[in-house]
Amino acid sequence: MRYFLLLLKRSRILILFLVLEAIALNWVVQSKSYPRAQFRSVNTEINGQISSWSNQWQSYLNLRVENDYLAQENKKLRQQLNSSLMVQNYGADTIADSVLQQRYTYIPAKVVHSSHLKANNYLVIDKGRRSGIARNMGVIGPQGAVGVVASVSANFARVIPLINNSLTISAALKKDGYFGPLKWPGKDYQKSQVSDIPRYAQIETGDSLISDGRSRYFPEGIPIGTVLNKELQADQNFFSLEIALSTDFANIKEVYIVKDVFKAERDSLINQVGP
Amino acid sequence: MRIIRDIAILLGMVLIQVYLLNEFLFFRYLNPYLYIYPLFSIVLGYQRGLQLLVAFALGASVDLLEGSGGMHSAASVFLAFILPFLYGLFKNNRDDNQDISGFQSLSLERKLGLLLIGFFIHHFALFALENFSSDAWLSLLKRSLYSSLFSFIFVLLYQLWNARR
Repeated sequence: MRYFLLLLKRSRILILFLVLEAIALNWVVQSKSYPRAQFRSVNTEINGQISSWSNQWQSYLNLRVENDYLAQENKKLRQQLNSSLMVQNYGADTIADSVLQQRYTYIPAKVVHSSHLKANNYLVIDKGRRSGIARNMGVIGPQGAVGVVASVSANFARVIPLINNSLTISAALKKDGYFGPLKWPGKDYQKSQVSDIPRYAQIETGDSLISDGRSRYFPEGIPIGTVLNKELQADQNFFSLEIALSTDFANIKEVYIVKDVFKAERDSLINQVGP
Repeated sequence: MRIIRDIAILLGMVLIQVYLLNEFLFFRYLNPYLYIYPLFSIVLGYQRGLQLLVAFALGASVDLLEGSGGMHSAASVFLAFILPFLYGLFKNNRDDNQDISGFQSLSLERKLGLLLIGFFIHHFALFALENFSSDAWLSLLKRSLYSSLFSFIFVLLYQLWNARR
């Protein structure tokens, strides 16, 4: 016993070192293991609070670029307004239409923290549970798809962007609908990769990719990126496409969270057990 | 008095790191991590146990402010653990000035050597944890090398400026 205590005393520095490293590594593992472990919402709340302070003055620096994006988006939306469409129906008959029902609603939010140069990037936005945000909601920006909500606290939410290699979403070619998983290979925040596109698909550089209707997160048709080049995968049957992402993650301020009104109904079918 | 000064330096370094250095990215992916400099300049003179605790607190505050989840804590505790061994390699027994202990007593070249190797080890540990996978070792090595050289340029300038005074 005495010898043991002596040994303990002599190696106390090593033990302290191991304990501190264990704490730190445990912290690392916890924050990396999305989606198995939830991020602690306390952490999200603290980070969000601090970032939103430091963000207030920074947001002024980007006003000009941000204005451009918003103007472009306004233009796009204006084109979809009823007043900018021509009525083609001159007939006398009108039908009380219950065919179209709102499927998605959008909650605007501001990005208060973002990273784009790490191996695992993430964003923090200034809306949380109180604004009706929940896990697994899609996040889009003026330029296209941004990511998916990973964890929520009362006033903030943490978003896993497309440039994080733990997120995979389904992307489809706008032209002919072939689809494949989009997964960020790392390195460059402006590029990503879509695999498993059939070899017989006619793909050219510049073709655009949009979100797929099969995706759980996004409405159909949200821009994701454009094809930069293609190459055959090792199995020789599928193409792997290198794409340029439409969202500029180095400069992202305004986003919308997509709320699927029919999510519960849809999930109840997907999660059904048995045949 | 010295304690207050040291705490002020450590806190100031964390704030500079998080709000100034992390905002500027050079050549698109280089980010200087200078907050570990006080580990060399002041913490090296502390008791062994205290060194580790201070290093942990330093890393943890950067982690909390940056939301990087423990990576900086792990890397700086690791650096603090091996720093005395490195110091032993660089220390010169013959003309050791007894009045000022530790890091400040080293000659300029020895100081710079210690800083370069220490920075490289810290950055390598940090990026390895950030990658968190066993692939891409080459790019990891390259990134740690460039980044630590880049951080080193800053302390080199500071040391040269200091030496001229």
